[in-house]
Amino acid sequence: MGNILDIAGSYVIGGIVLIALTVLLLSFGSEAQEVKLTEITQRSLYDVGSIIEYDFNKLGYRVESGDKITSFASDGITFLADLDNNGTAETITYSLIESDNKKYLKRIAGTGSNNEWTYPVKGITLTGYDSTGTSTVNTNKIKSVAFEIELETDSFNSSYKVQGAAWKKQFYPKNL
Amino acid sequence: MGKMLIILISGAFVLYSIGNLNINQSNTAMIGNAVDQYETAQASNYAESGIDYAVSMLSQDTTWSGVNNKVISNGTVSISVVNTAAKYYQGSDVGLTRGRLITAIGTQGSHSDTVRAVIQLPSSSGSSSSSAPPFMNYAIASGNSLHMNGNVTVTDDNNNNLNANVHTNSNFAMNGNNKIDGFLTYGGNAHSNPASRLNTSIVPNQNPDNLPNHQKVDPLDIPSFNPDDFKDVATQVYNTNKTFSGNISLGTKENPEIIYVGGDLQITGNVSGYGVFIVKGNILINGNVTITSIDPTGNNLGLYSKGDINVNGNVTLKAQLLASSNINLGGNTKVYGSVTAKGHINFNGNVSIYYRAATPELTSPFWPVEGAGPKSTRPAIISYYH
Repeated sequence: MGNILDIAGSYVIGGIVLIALTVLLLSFGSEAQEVKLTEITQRSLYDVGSIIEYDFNKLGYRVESGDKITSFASDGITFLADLDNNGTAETITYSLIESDNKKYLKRIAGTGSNNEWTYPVKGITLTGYDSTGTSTVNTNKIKSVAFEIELETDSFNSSYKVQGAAWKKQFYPKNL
Repeated sequence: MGKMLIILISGAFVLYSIGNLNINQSNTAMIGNAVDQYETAQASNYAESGIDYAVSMLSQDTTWSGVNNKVISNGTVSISVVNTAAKYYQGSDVGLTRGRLITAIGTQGSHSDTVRAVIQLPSSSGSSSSSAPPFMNYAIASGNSLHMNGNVTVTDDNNNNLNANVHTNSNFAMNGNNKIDGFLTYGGNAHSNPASRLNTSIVPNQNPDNLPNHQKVDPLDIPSFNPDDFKDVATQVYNTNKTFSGNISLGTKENPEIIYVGGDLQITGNVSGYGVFIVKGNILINGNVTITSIDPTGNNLGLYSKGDINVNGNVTLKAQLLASSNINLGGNTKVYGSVTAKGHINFNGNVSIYYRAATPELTSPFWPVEGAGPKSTRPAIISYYH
């Protein structure tokens, strides 16, 4: 009888320990996955931010005359800049597009299909400011531009848990 | 059972360790990203600060040539300054005077960033200088009537600290989709079709004293211009009609070329250097014509006529215009500079005036105005490549 109780007790205790370990491992696996996703999101935003900084820091460079910002809205901007310093200003466009119920940040620099890329986002917000710091959409008066990107990790894959991330920077292009 | 439990616990421990390792690796990578971003941002800031520092140093000493590994916070910046006649880094020589190419390299940790800027030093520091005569201090000034028909825009040239003011000693009339980024003043009356556009289409960029956007004022004295009075100071003289085309080389800002034309002048092409055409007849610019200039913020070309100035077609003209008679701008004309006439001024079509303040060096040989104001001693940034 004592042996039977020992065996039953061992099974109960062993089962509890086993279930606890399983729950712990599942929790750990989930946490590891979220941390990994956060890292990927951070890295992606950092890379996209680098490209945006590269473009916006050159806004208006080598534009001899006329408007340097040709169109501006809260969800898109088109401007001129000689990005590669080859003597000719290119047209750069950032816009928010939708496809299959997903939103994407689209960048077009110059002409040609190789000069485009898209990036999944939750939304973007562009704000123009004049020389007094007042927000404006008048392309002739804009002296600085704030660019904000909102992300969710489900922008990449809807099967993952939703995690938000944001990137924001205000540019004061010297050529503007 | 006990052995089984030990095996299970050991297995779980291994799995736990793997999970923990993954989390640690991700955390380490995130910290690495953050450090990368911080160092990149710092290097960029140091490089930008290097340009500002160089501009400051060049304001005090135009011979300053840079510095190596100047320590800022935890990083360094190296700055070099070289003379340039180009407006852009690796750009072509356009005869830019007192130009300097500044290269600033900021370094933080393993990251570095480079910023290049072309600046133009002021011609002299601290001294007063001549200025343009009052009648040239308008985007448009007419001694007689001023008519705008079509899509006429009068704006600043990417400098909204400047008002693109319009004046007529007589009547002002506009009809169509017109726009003025400055004050309108007139000696007669002002008429608009529709009338409401007088209040909606005329908006100065700057109005700190809350002046009315349009008002009647005393007449502006616009003198007659006779090129014969200045023939003796001309550096080139053509007694009959003359056509200029292609690349036209002129003088320096301090010593601009003065070209006398005894008849009519036709001009097209690229202008390098500073100069003034003083024309006894009419100035005619027709067709697909582009007259470029080297001065990105001012004018390096003056077109002064005793007769009319007639511009029509797809014309882009960077110059300050003055006519003793009338100025007629039509077609798709774009003028980067100013328009002044003792007679009538007529705009028909898609005419755009991008106002740039008149360059005193191009007016002082004819209308000297001494000691009218302090000269800028701050170098001007011509281009900035980051």
